[in-house]
Order: sequence, then C-alpha cells, then structure tokens
Amino acid sequence: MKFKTLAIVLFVAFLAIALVGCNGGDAGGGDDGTTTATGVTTYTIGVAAPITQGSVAQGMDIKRGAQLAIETMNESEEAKAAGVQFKMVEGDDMSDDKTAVTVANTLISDRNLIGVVGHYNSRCSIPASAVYSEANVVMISPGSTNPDLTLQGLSGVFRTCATDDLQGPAGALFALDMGLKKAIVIDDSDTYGEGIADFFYEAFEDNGGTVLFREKTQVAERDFTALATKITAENPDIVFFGGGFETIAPFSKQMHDAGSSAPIMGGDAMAEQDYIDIGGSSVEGDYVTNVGAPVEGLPAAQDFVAAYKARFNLDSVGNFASYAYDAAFAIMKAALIVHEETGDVTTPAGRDALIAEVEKSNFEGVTGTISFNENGDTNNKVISLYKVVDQAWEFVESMDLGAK
Amino acid sequence: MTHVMEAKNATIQFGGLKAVDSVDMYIDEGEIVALIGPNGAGKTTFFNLLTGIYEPTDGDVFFDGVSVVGEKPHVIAKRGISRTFQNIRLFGALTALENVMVGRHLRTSAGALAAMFRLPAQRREEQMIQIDAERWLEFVGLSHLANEVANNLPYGAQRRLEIARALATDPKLICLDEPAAGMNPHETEELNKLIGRIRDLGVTVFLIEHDMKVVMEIAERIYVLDFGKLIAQGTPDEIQHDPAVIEAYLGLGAEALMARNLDETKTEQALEFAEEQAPLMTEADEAAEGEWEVFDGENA
Amino acid sequence: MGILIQQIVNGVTLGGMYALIALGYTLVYGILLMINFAHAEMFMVGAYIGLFTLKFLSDPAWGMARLGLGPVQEFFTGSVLGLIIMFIIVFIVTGALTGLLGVLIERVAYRPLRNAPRLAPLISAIGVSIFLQNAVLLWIDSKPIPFPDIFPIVTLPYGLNSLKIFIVVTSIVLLLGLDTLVSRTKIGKAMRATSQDRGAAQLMGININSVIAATFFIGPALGAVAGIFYGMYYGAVIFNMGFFPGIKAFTAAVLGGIGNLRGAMLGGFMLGMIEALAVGFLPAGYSGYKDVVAFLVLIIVLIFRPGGLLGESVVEKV
Repeated sequence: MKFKTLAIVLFVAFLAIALVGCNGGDAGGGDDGTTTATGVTTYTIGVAAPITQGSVAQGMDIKRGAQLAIETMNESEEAKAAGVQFKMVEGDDMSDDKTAVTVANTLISDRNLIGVVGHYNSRCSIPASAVYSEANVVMISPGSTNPDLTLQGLSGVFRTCATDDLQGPAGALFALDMGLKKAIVIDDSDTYGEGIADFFYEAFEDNGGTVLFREKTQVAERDFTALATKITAENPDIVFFGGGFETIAPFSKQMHDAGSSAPIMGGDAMAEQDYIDIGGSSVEGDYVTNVGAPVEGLPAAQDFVAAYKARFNLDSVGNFASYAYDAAFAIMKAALIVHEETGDVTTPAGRDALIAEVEKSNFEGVTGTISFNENGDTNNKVISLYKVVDQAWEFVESMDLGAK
Repeated sequence: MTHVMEAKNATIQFGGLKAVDSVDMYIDEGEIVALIGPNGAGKTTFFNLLTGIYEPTDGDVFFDGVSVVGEKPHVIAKRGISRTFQNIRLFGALTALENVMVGRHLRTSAGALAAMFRLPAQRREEQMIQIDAERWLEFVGLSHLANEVANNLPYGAQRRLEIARALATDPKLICLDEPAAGMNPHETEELNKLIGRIRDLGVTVFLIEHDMKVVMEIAERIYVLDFGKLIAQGTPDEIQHDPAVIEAYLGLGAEALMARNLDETKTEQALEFAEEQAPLMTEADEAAEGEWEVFDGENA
Repeated sequence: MGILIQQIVNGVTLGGMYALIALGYTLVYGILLMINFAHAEMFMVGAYIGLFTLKFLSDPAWGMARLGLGPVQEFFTGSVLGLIIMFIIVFIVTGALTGLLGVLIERVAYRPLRNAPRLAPLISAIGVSIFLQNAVLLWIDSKPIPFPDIFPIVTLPYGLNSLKIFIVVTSIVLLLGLDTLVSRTKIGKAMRATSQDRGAAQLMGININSVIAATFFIGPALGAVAGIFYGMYYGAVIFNMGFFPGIKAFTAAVLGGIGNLRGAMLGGFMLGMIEALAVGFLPAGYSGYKDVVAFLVLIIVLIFRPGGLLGESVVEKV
C-alpha cells in the first residue's frame, strides 16, 4: 500500500514536471514593470502560435523567429539609445480556434503588451484578431494567408505574408506557363489549404486550364495510397495540394510509388527543406510558390539566416521564422518611434499611435520591403516559384502581382 | 508431527462483523475433513483465508508448519493448496483440457521468453503438460469431453472439471467448496468415490458441504462453524449427537437436521443452477470487482 | 481491373499496420477490460526507437561509425545479407525496448489503479498519452523526422513493391505467431485464463502481475513494429503520428470484437480494405468520405453484432 501511494505521487510529480517543462523557459528576458530605476522601459511582445499541438513545426519557427528579432533589437544601439527593451511572452494556441481566443485574452491581460506576432493558422488568427483589436493591441500574423483576416475591418491587424488569393492564382499561372493544362486539386480541409486550393482552382480554369477533379483529405492524414492510385489513373499534368509540407511530402512519395510522374505543387506552407528530407527522391521536380523574392538575394537575409542557425543550433531556417522576424521588427520599430514621441506606448493614445506607425512601416526586412496597404496586408506581392532540383529548392522565377 | 493445515485463533473482521472468530483447527496428512455449518457461518471465508484471498485480522494459519498469512494466492497455490469454488469458476471460453493445463502450469518452468520463441524445451514441456492434463481428465472421468468449451459442459461435469483443474496443480491439500451442490444422487455417489480416490493419491481433502449424506459418509472428522465460531468438532457420529450442533440447526434433531439440509440444498442448487446457466463473463466481472477487491489491492 | 488490384494491395498493406496496432488494444482490453488510450503513443514511440536504431546501425554520421564500427556498418548497408540482419536487429531491439516501456507504464500508471473505479485508469492512460507526446516533442523535435530510406524498393506490377510485400508478410507472420502464442503456449493459456477469471487464475497458481506485464510487453512491441512500417512507408515520424492510426486501429479492434485477437486482425485488414476501396469507388472528388464509409460499416456491424464480428454477442448474455 505504501508503494502504491508512492508510485502515484511520483507519477503525478513526473507528469507535472513534464507539463511545466512545456511552458517554461525561453521568454526573451527583461524585467516586469514598465520602467525600472535605471530608466529602461520594457514592453511586452506576445508570440501566439501552436507550440505543443497542431502545426507545431511552423509554430516553433515563428517562436524562434520572433525571439531572435527581440534579442537582436534588445542588443541594438537603437533600442539602447531609446532606453527601451522588449520582453517576449508566448501563448500556445495548439492550432485550435477556441484555445487561440483564450490565449489572446491571456496575453492582453498584461498591460505592457503592445503587440502580438501571431497566430499561425488562419482559423486561429481570425477569431483572435477581434480580441486584440478590441484591446488596441497590434497583431501581425506571420503565417495566416487567408484573405478574410484583414477584410474584417478591424484596426491594428496586419500580416507579413502574402495572401492565398495571390499565391493560388500565381501558382496557376506558373503551371499554365509551363504548359501543364490538366490539374487535379486537393486540399487538407483546413482554412489555409482549402482557401489556396480554391484560388488555384478558379485561376487555373479562368486561364484556360482544366481541373479534372477536386479532392479533400485531412491535415493529419498520411495514407494516400488509395488516392494516389486513383489520381495516377487519371494521368494529370500537375497536382495542386493546398496544405502543409508534413501532409504533402508523404502524398508526393505515395504518388511516386503509385507510378505517377506528375509534379506536385503547393503554397508557402510546403516550402520547407523538411519537405525534401521526408520525400527524398520522390519529390524531385515538385513545385512550390512562396511570397517575396528569394531570401538568398537579400543581404539582410544572409545575416539573419546565419544568426538564426547559430542561435538555435539548427541546420535550416523554417520559412515562417523570417516572417515572424519581420513582424516582430515592424512592431518594435514602430514602438521605438512612438516611445520617443510620447514616452509611453501603453497609454490609449500611445496604442493608437503605434497602430498608425505600424501602418506607415517601410523598412527592408529579411523577406523584402515591409510595408502594409490600407487593409493591413503586406505590399510585398512578389510571388516566387521554386522547384526541387537535386534535393534542394531551386528558384525558378518570380512574378509581381502588385504590378498587375 | 506437523499438521498439514493448522489455524490458530484465526479471525477476520469485516467492519463490525467477525466472519471468522478465533478459530482453532487442524488437518493431518491423508485425512478427509469436512467443514459444515448453516449458511453465512463463515465457511467459504475460512477457505479464503487459507488460500490467500483474505488475510486474517488476527491469529495465524499454517500450511506444513509455515504461515500462509500475507502470501499471494498464486504463491500459496504453488506451495500446495488448491481449491474449487462454491459457484463454479472455470475459464469458460477455454476447453476442458485447456482448463486443466492452466492448472498444470505452475509445476512447469519454461519462462515467457521461451514460450514466445517456441523453443524445443518449451515444446516438450507443453507436451508433458498436455499428457498430465489428459491424465487428470481421465481421473475425473471427463476424457470424452476434453475438447469441449468449459461453458458448454453439463453442470456435474463442470464440477468435476474444477476438481481436475485443482488436482493438476499437484496439491498437498485440496479444498472443495460444496462439490456436491447441484448433483443428482447418482452423481453424488460418483463424487464420493472420487473424493476417496483423491485421498488414495495421498492428497489431503478439506471440504465444505451441505449435503449431510456426503459428509457423514466420507468425512473422518468434522468441524462445525456457526456465526464464525467453531461450535463443535469430532467424528461424524459425535457431531450428529452434539447438542451445540443441534442447537445451531434450530434445535432440530440430527435426523431432521439432515433432512432439512437436503431440502435446503436442493432449493439452493436450483437457484445456483439457474445462475450458472447465465454466461460467466459478467459474473467473473462482478467477482473481479467485488469479492476479489481486497486481495487485488494488496498486490499493488 | 488493374486499379482494383492496386487498391486491394493498398488496403491490405494499410490493414496489416492497423491489425498490428489493434492487437495492442484488444489484448489489454481482454485482460483488464480497460481501453489503453496510450497505446497509440506506444506506436509513436516505437517508430522513434526504430528510427534511431536504424540510424545508429546505418547512418555514417551516427553511432556505429563513430564508435569505430564503420566496417560493420558498411556490411549492413552494403549487402543483401547485411540488410536482412540489420532489419532483424532493428525489429528485435525496437520491439523489446518499446515492450519494456509498455511494462514500465503499466507498473507506474495502471497497476496502482487496478482496483480503482474504471474511469481512473482511463484518465491515467490519457495522461500517459499526453506525457509521451510532450516528452517526444520536447526532447526530440516538433518537426517530422525523415525515416532513413534504406529499404531497397523494387517496383512490381499492380502497384506492388518490395516494401508493401515486406510489410504484409511480416504482419501476417507476426499475427500468426501471436495467435499460436496465445492458443498453444503456457503464457497464452495463462493470459486467456486471466482474462476469463482473474481471481480463479490466481488461485490456480498464475501470477497475474506477470501475465499483465507480458500483455503490456507484447502489445507495444507489435505496435512498435507497425511504427517502423509506418515510418518506412510514409517516410517520416512525428510526435503526434499516433492519433489517426490509433483511432483507426481501435475502430478495427471494435469492428472485429474487442478482446478477441483474431477479431482485431480481421478488423484491421477489413478496415484497411474498406478505406482503399471506398477511395477507389467513390466518385471523383468524394474520396474524403472514406472514413464515413468505414464508420458506416462499423455502425452496421455493431447493430447486427453488438460484440463485433468475432466478439461474444452482448445481447445473448442478457
């Protein structure tokens, strides 16, 4: 009996430690309270993303990107001269819309919170944006590409990634330019995947292509053998899959196993090195669209890539890390200006000024020039096409949809 | 000489009720001893003390001179006490032969790993187990039903199968809990012979029985429990004339006592029989949650 | 016709994996009448252990080569015999380690609650499940990890390839092995006896704690094999990979009759087949409804046979 009690106690303690371990840890440093005795003001930047469940891979990238931005800014002369430091507080939305609203409410309860980098999933960003807007907190999503997010008429809602209504059509145009006329369109039934697939579908048909059929699957599904057999029998020129790399990579592998030679195309959520690592030789020749010009071409991005790898001891930089990095910088740069002018960003006037200042953003980020239109969408409307060549994403061409 | 079984001041208390109260008792090797008493007298509870299902709250129970208190049931079984149950508890979905083989297992050595890889030694042992099990089935006269699923056996056969299963563990002491319950006179006759043959094998027999005809015919000594207390002991002849026993059985004479018990047993048997016809799963389930709770807890 | 055969091949391969996982659910249910919700995570952990074992044995940047065993590694990756030996080692090591983890979990999280109300071990199982997921997430990675592409794939007609054949054949061998173990051997009979009547089994000299431990070894060991198959077949492992296969395998166990081993096997293959054929025969654009078809079949089966296909019918008992 004694052992039994002991075992239960130990087990509960073990679980508790494990769960605390999940949340503990790596906030950006800095003190609580607005101003310390030394005259340094600390503002809170929230990072809301899936950390333990859901799109965890992308969520972790976002967290790391924002963390690196905050650390970089805190070390910069700019911040030191202004006497401002930033502190990161993370919220785990688990890719769940209800949890996202809870996270948003928790974050805004910190009165030093001035802005939030997040959320990732469109299904989370849309309900959470109402909470932030109500509290006059700036929200910049680094990864929610569903157009509806910025069409709600809420103030203070921005994003650094291009929308699906740009990426989807761009993908369709790229495909048709390459002479691929027969497509099959699939999505993972998620707000993002479904949206981008719809936009691809429309643009593909409008511009002279034929969509043989449209299929739906699920985010967590990994067995596509039966679907792959069915699609291969239709012999399409290209298969467009709206979803994340973790879903599309096994799909591509199984298409290859089923004997298909049609390339797979997807949106930015597929543009990861992991896609190639998982898919191996099966994914050779697959395409992906991504926002902005290639990161390799921008000097600022080189430094970012190097710093990121060194800071987190990783081999590659996840795509959304760079958007999160730029999003955090947009908030912090604006905050420095407002702090200079008003002395406190957390007052109602300061918050309004911050939103106005973020709207006016215009700086060179790691994903291109960061500026926002009247809705809060990025003006960076360059979409690039990449292809898997020799187990790496190779830049093919860019298309500026802003020019059209 | 040490007794095969000896209880000293054995007591078990459930809440305010002493189900077994300061019982002193012994059984010597090669004896056939019966434990009788009215319903609820604590007879099965005493069996449970002996086989490790319950631990006495006071006193001690010895087997071969060594205490069994605190031992787990499977260890006690290994030491040489085996039993049958008042309400038959066979492994219903296993065949008759398999039931007996399960009983045989504790006398074998090959471990789980050997079993998984079907090593030759294990295969030989498995064959030995089967041969032994078949012998025990023959001993109780069930060879022809070896491959029948236990649940489908006739009632009397199930009782005998339980005895075969218990014998397969090579016990030194076998405890039979109402073995004659539900049997017709002819079957009871066969049972009496069977118990005699078990003793001839050198196995000591300890039985609870309501059927006085069986008890008086085969028991060498009898213990009588009433309300948990031992009220009498002695030879069948002594017991039949013991005033305390007669008092316990509602003051009836010994003759009436026997008759009454026969009738009562019949009614009970009918009820039990009806119960037994219901599939066993739910019953085993209930047993697992109810009766067995106490000793399961101690295993944790 | 060719497509039909291909879909059957797909279904059988998937079904083999479902069956292996389903056995873990059904074994534990049979003996403890408890649904071990953490079993899906044993499958996941097994896949990770398999991944690391395989990397240790085959990846030059990992393990063996660093320990100065480069030539052994070359033997493993460079010859057919080496590959066979390597995979045998991977399966045994992974099965054993995952099995031991299963035994440990039973000891720590379930045994203390064996006589608690039914709900308690269920909650404990959910706790173990969350714990294992988070442990892998924190200590290993949140991203999918590619599975080494070592198994030589030979493509054959009708969508067959060497990997699919390997998966199906190994699954069937293991299923038959388990069936023999349970029906023919001492430990198997002890398991069946314990599931029938725990108390009587104990009084017949069976150490039920050992029997339950054996159950918790075998189930996760088979789940781990399925995990390795999953990694090889779909190319990657991730901390939350247990969810879908776990639900499907549980469904398969219920379909076949939970508690019944052959039922779990039958249910697994049936479910894999139903899914593949549903995708194959549903009109284009509706293959997302394959799970609806699968669960529809489950519901229909349960209406007519509440205990599952091979399970004891509950109705008869009343």
